[in-house]
Amino acid sequence: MEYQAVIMAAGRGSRMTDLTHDRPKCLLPICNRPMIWFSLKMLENAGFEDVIVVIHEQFRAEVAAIPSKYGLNIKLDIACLPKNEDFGTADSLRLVKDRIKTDVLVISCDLVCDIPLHNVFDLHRTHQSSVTALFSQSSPEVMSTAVPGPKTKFKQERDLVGLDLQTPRLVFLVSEADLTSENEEELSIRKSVMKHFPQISVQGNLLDAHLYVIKKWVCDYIAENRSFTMLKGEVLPHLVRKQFIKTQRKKNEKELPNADVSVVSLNTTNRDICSFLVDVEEEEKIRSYSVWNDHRGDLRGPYQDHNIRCFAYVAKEGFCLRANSLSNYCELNRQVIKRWNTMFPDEEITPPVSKAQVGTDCLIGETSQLSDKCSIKHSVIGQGCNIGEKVRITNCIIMDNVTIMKETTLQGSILMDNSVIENSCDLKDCIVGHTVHSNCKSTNEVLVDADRLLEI
Amino acid sequence: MSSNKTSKSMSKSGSEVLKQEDVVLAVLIADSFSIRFAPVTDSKPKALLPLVNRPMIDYALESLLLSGVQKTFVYCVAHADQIRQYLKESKWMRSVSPMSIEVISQSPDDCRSLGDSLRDIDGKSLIRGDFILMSADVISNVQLIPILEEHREKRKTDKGIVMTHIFKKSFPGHRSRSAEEELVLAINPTNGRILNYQQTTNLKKLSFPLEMFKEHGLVDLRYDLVDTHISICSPVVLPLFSDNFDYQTWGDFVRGILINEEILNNTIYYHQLEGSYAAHVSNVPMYDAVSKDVIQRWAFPLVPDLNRSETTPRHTLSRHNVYKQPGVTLAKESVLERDVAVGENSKIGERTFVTQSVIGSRCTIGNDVYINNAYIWDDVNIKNNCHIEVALIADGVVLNEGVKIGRGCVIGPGVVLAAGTKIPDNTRLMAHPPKCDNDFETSDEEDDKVAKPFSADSVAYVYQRPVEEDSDAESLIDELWGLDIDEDSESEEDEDEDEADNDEDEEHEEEVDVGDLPEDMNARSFYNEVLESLQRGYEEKIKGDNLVLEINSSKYAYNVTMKEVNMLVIKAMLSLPSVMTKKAATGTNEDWVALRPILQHFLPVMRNYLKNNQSMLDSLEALEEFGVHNSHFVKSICKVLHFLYGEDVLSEDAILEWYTNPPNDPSALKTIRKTVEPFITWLEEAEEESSEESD
Repeated sequence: MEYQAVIMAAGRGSRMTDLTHDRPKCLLPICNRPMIWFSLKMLENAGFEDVIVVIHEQFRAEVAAIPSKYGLNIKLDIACLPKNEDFGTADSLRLVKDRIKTDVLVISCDLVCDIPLHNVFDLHRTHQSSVTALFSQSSPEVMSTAVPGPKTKFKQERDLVGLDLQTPRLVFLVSEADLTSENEEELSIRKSVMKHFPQISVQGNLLDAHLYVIKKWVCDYIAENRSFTMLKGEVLPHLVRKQFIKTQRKKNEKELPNADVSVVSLNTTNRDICSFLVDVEEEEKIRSYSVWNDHRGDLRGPYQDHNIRCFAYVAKEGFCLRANSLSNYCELNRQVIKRWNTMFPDEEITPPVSKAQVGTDCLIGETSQLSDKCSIKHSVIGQGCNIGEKVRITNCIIMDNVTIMKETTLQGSILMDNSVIENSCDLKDCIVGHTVHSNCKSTNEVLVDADRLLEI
Repeated sequence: MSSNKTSKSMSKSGSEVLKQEDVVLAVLIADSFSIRFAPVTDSKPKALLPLVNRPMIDYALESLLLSGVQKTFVYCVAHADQIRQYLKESKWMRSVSPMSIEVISQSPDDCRSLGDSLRDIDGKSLIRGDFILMSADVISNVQLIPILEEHREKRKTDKGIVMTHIFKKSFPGHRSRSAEEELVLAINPTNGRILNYQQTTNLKKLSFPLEMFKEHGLVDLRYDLVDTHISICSPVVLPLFSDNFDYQTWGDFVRGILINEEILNNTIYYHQLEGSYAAHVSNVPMYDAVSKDVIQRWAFPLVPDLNRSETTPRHTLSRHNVYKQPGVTLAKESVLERDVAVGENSKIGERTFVTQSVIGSRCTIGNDVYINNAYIWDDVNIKNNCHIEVALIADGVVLNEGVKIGRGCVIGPGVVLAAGTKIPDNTRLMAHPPKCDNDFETSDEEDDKVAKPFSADSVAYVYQRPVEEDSDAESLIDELWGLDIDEDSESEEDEDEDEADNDEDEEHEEEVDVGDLPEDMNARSFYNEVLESLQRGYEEKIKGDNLVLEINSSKYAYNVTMKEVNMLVIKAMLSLPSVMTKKAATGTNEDWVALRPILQHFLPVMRNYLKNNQSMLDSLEALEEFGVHNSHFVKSICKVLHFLYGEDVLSEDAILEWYTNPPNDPSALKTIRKTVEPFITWLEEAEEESSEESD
């Protein structure tokens, strides 16, 4: 087993609270499948036979049932977090450290992507990378879609990613939010870094897929260093910065003879990052005997003699999007329907027989019933829904067991499980979680139960 | 007169009359406006210095000709008559020359920079179309017409294009990178627009505006480019220079264009050379690098054996890149190892070893001489047993027996060194005593000391570079010629890396603690600038008015408030003694001894800023803050107050008001307020007395 996989599914969906108050983000439906199904499917396609899933304990049963429900062969090894406790991604990795035996692929449950993973693994293998991250050149159309619910100032989270032009090395990684929160107007780079990497391509429009291939020793390092809570926000920038340090070998040699003892006995929180590196000497020897070099232009050895190396795989094509915000969630639903046949050729969807006008790019649950005179465009409709006459649905996400009575117009809205829309409503860009009475007209509103509102 | 000639030659050659727009025009600036080559350039213009036995301007003209330029304006400033004379006698001015040349000369007093010369050209309204701007010390084999076409093509999509500047890729550490012209460009890789330009020689950290990354999703940061000093200019470049008198160099121009981009919509593009050669001889180390490139044939067809000049005969090439002009005499057992060029009628003595060097015409080199990495110009006489390594030896120098020249030396024309002289590394010698007219600081005794440093028989004076504003960095770089600088840079890197290792919080530790320096970067840099101005002002005894001007301009540059100015100026003055001596205050009387002359000198500055009550209060606040952070200073605070009061800088009212207000930092109560208590009581008493008296 060369790689293990971990799915981080304990995210609460803090950027889409209207949808996630009664279920975890990983179980929100995208095209009538729970979000986590897409990650599991991707891993299964990539050849993984089992996967570690980190999740809050109250959802254990629900998640455990997913593979059998949707016919996946992958085995789940579920690691539970205590209820109502927030764990960062690095914390979660620390939780499962004993189960990690090899290099590990960490993904987030909200990723939907059809980029072949073997490319990322190849890059990781070729360069003996410490961390390899997947980036995608995000599609610009995502930015422009209307978002249901109250109008908020929508800000796409962006990172400035500095890549070496010759090698796919990650030279720096800063999130724009960090820079603006610190009121910095400038990005500063050390000249010594530019000496090592004289051609840096700074890309501001890349989407970080939150898919990382991490070396075993880095996992150990994260496990030891309790100050890390997040992979993306803390660990990755830290490692990217540590690339440029010189390995202090002498120190290493001193520690080596009783390394086994020291790990147990010493207070290891302050161990130097370099002491976690394994097989450095062997690797350095191989490098020095080889004529191969990853860059040209100076007389430095391959990888500038850096022992810690972070690489980025930038996917030029292929679909990749994370459901980490409301707008991305809606967009994902629309995009996935369009691409369903190419992305999942083995998962056929049979539309229910009905005389309703169903446009292209629609997905309707098999057990739903549509009246003859309704029209549905660009929408997803879940299982067990009942849609009345003369209902017009455009650009909507309708979850399971929703009832829509007659002569209603719905546009750009999300209807959660079990909601009911009575006659002649007109809803635009709304999020509905309960019963909406007749003749209601709303735009950009969240219509959920009053007691739920109180809870929040 | 020359223009008459050229116009005649145009009509004579039978070519059809062309509109100026169709003629490919070039402007060759035959002056570098620098003193990198002094003292050699004291008597000879840089453009005529020989590079592998051929004047540099020949290479520049040759490359323009090879790329199809039809008319060139040669703009001369220093020693313009010599350049005019040279060109007049050369093949360039003949009627058969396919490229017509017009010489424009200007006196050095009216033209001190590239900006001045372009303003002058604009004033003469000679140019109406796109033109190629190049420096006469550029060696290149670039085909410029395709780049010119590219420039015109870009104008179809971007009306605001003013310039396409040509860069060559050259990785850090390569010899063709000039240490003093290091730069970082931010470019848009999709269209080649330059978004940001920085000179990085003295920087450790590079900063780029975030705006730029937001605006352009994709930005390439390039540290691997070298400025070739060749650009394709739209005609609008000239009026842009005329409109902005502060544009002196190309760098000023680029920065100005980028800053005003939104208003004027002007853009600059970059062109990266692929496979062709271009280099700018900016200083002596670059002269060394470019000479080697020419000898090693990187600049083909600009190589010594394809020399098209008529005045100097061609070299013949033998293996290991050894070039010889006709009439070279090699005595027995002499060795020309590799990468050597020897000029005509030169004689090389027995057992003499020459490698990686250039020897000019009519030189006589004795027996058992060792020459490595040296550039020896014409008519040089080197006697037996001399040792020369990494040096530039100008015309007519005589080295008597056993002279040893250290690494990185530049020996000016006409110098005669007595037998057995040893010249230390990095010395620059000239044949006449330095002129003292503008060197106000060199006193006579000093002159006597250094005038004839080696022996009475030598004709050699040490050349001292006049102090420039930013001289320390530049001279340092010049001195690096011939030294093994790799280790230095390597160790510097280690430091950097170690620094990177430490987490970033510790970055500010270098600064002297002067109290809570404002968080805001502007004020911080303002403070540093003020500190620098004051230090220089004190050391060079600059008048108060000028310092005030300087501080005010920094104030506007960093946009700080008046209160900050008052406080920071005072803090800077107080920290000056420790900054200058690099010692912290001792807490003894010596502090005051060191501080007093400084305050005395800056009285006019203080009087300028501390005019009203509020400003005085600001300064007192600063005084107090400084005291809180430098506990040793507390001892002197009374004396400072008394002194400033005595000099009428601080008024009695202000001091008393300050004393009655509670301090910002409670810890000040115990220390500072207590120490000044006697002074305050004295003040109060004095006031009472005086009021009584007036009653």
